[in-house]
Amino acid sequence: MKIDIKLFGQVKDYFPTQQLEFVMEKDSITVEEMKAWLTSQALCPERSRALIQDSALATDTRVLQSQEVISQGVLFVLPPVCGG
Amino acid sequence: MGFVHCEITDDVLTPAKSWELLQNNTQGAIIWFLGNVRDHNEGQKVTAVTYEGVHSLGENVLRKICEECHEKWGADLGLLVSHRVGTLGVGETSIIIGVASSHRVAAYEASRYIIEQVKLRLPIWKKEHYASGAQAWLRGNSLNG
Repeated sequence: MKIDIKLFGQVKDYFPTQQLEFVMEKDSITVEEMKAWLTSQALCPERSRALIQDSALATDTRVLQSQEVISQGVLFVLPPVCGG
Repeated sequence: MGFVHCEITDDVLTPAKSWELLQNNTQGAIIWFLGNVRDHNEGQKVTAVTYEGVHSLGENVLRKICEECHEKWGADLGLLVSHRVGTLGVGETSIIIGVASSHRVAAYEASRYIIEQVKLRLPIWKKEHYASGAQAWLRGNSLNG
């Protein structure tokens, strides 16, 4: 499956671009597995990994729960928030 | 259901525009909360703050918070929440919350509820710019479910 990942807030400072594109061999994966996979990739700097684990994944309409299954599409990586 | 207006916007926030949207003749109590960029934080002189957000997702979160207000304090509440994104100078308004209610207690409580939930749940990130030339993202609340 093809996954496009958009990074926000301080997470994007660790990567050369705000948007990443991956092709995975699996057809689906849970949110928790996706974060573990992402942090295992070579392009993911070691110093960003704790922040990504502390981040939520979301679509453009809602925040996903850790056991939800992702198939394909655009995923947002949302580090801890501080609106207001 | 009462009036609801939620937005994540690049536009300058002005109380006058928000007042026009929320104002009506049936609600006797109206509370306004404005959040402005202050000139200091944790001992550092702040010159500006950059707010980054996710528009569609953020507006969905704001609408959900407003739904919760209607469940808690009555469906007739009028609610307005506007959050600005972009780089704001000191003194500029980053958020306006307006609550119109028949009674003051509900207006005060709903207003407080909204700002506290915004800080916990709204996908917005703040980067402070300091007089020294340094910049730093502020720590926040994890949305991990």
